[in-house]
Amino acid sequence: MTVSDAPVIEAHGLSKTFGQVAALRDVSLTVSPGEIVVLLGLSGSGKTTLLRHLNGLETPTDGRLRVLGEDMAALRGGDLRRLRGRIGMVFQQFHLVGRLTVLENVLTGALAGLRGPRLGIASYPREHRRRALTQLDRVGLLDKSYQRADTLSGGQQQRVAIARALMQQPEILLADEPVASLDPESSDQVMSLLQEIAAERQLTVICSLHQVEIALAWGRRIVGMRSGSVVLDTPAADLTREAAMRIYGRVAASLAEAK
Amino acid sequence: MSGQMSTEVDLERLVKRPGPAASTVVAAGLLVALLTFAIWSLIQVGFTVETFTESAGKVGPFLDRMLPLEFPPAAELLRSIGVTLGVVLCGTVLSAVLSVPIAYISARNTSPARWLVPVGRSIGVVARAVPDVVLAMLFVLLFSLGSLPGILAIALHSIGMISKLFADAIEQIDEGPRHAIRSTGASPAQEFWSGVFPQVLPSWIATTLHRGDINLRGSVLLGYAGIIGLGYDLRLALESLNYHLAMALALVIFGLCVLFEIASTVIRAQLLGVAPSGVSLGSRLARRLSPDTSHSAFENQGFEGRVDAAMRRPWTPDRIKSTASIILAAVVVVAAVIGSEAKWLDLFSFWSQIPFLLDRTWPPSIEPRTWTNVFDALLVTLQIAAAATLLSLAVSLLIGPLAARNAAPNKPVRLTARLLLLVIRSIPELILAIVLIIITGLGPQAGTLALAVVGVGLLGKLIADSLEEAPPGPQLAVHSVGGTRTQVFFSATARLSVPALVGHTLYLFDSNIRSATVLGIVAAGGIGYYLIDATRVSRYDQVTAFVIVLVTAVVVVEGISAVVRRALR
Ligand SMILES: Nc1ncnc2c1ncn2[C@@H]1O[C@H](COP(=O)(O)OP(=O)(O)O)[C@@H](O)[C@H]1O
Ligand SMILES: [Mg+2]
Repeated sequence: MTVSDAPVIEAHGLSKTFGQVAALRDVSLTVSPGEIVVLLGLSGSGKTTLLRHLNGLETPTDGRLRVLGEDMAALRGGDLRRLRGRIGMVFQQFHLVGRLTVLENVLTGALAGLRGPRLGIASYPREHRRRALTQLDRVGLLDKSYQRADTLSGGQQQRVAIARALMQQPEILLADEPVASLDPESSDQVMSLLQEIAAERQLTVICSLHQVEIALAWGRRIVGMRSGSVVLDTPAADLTREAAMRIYGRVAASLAEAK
Repeated sequence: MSGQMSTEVDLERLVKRPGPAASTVVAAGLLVALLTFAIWSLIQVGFTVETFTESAGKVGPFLDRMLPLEFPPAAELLRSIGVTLGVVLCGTVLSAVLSVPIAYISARNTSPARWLVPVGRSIGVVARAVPDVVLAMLFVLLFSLGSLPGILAIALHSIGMISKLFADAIEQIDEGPRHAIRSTGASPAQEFWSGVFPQVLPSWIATTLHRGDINLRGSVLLGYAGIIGLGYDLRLALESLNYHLAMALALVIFGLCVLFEIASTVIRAQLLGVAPSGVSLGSRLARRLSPDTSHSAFENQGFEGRVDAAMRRPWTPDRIKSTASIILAAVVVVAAVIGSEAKWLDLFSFWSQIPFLLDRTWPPSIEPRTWTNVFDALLVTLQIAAAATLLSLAVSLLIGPLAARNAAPNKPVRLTARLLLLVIRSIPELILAIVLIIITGLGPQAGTLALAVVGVGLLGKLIADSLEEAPPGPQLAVHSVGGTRTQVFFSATARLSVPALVGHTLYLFDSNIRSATVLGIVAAGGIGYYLIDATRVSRYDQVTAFVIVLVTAVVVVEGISAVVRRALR
């Protein structure tokens, strides 16, 4: 493995329009290995769209994007899937398959490295099962391994989703408002879990949030977004709570203006 | 309409009320035409008070001809039951498997290419349009006699319904988990089996079981295509005028249908947590039999943090149950494969017979019949369907309200009406038709009456249900202003949603056309009779011609009812 400081993400002038709606406007962003970045912005500011570009779930209307050294525009089929395999993603709505067991949900994180479809825990190789159980142990849910995923609480489901992402042994972890659907207590648990894991594995983490408090407490670098554009990019340490609130307020105000 | 909008423009618009939309005029015209046709059909089929009383007079002699029942020797009967169940199960399971790829390309969200969607959907439509018995008649040419043609006929025909419902279910999934799995780098196939299939599995199983139910009810007919089993035995008994045996076999088939329905309802409740909600006999019994499964085991397995211990999956009640059901399903399928007595090896050799089949079936020809003959026969089929639908509607409009809690005069009447509908819904129409044919002799009246009775089971229930769902307000209002019970009754009945009622009635007409054809095969007359007659004399070019005529008629009627239903919405 080559240790280099080459950026893991380089976006230049990224734009995306859905019909009439401009979801991203001229976004440029560079992220170095091991960085923990918070995308901060109100609902509709383009956070989800940006994250979905980073693992090729969306293709940009305009601009260049390199992820883990690969030119995303050139990636197709198997190559694109291999790249996605190196990027874990966690969603606001967890997106587990409710009827499958917790363990099988985690195992689906290993699909990119397996040939052919799988159905049922027994269809995955033994060492994969061991590894999946280890991830579940890491997120504190080993006991729930054989329960149906939809019997778990929201916070537990999000931890399973994190275990699924870890199963990929990712180099980048994308988290799209991972705590927006959780109560404060589970939300604390999930955020600290993400922080610990990032530290343990030297992961690059890009996490979108809309709560200023959590963003400040958690991120090292804050990237503010407003109607598809990046309007702020600063180390969290340089940002006082008041300053952030002011910026956020301005974001909110200008959003109200725009309407 | 609000009173404030009394500007001049609005007034003008109010005065010059726009004429009804063209589609409404067309729909109304079609409806009137259909109604006229139905009334004329009723007369043509010969449904008069005399024929009724005449038939009633035949019940006594009929009992004499039928009793005592004469069951075949146990070993023989068991073998026939095994073959019939085997053929139905093999065909249905095969169809469920074949439906997966067709549903995959038919569903808009999973189809690999946009042009494949209409292709997949059309395969379903064609499969639905050709009755399984007709397919069986053709397949018999390809295989040495046995049950394999029956299995394949059921499998291909059932694809129509299973793949459609399965594709609809796929289109309704939660896309989130699927995108999550895609984002891990999974291939499209992996995405389907891990992210889509588990979501639609319950609907797939439920649809397959439901189809199995329908296939068992229709299996009698396969006997007329020469497929061994209970249907074949019944046909032989009827043809040799041995009604003691025929009635005994009809009872056995009826019993099997009820048992199958109970089994399928219990399985659905057990596996999927779907509460049996139907009102048929099977659902009722299944509700009694199946324990409440809404609370699944939610216990902690406690691996005390040891991954090694967790590698061995504990035998929780849930796991025991699901493993047991998988084993049971496997045993049933294996038993069906063996019980059906199909010559499976024929699957490898039948290809060589295809040129022969094509030669026999193409080009289509109706010789020596004339087009006038064919249209007359088609007309008889349509008449049977229309007359039966009209009778069903009339009777349902009476029984339906009697079965509704808020319209029935008292509880005993309501319960009696509900029970009547319940029993009717459990009778396979073919068995009923055969019994009626035995009673009244051959002819369209027997077929019409059979379809009419079965139709009441469907329409009567729909009417009762929609009445019970109607908000009680207006009825109370009529009652409180001193309306009599009868007035309340009519105000309630009038609240029936007319478009819904028309929709259900048209649906019944659609399905009656198919059934009327099929009843023709058991000698109720019409185009079905021509079909079976053509196979009897091995005129497969005629079979092709009649199938084309039939499919065209079904498609045209489906088109008409689609137009009317859309205009009424
Ligand atoms: N698939 C889509 N189709 C159409 N519009 C979309 C789609 N995805 C996002 N948008 C629009 O793009 C804008 C940004 O959305 P999103 O990235 O979801 O913002 P955020 O995640 O910050 O709430 C919104 O106006 C949204 O309506
Ligand atoms: Mg979002």
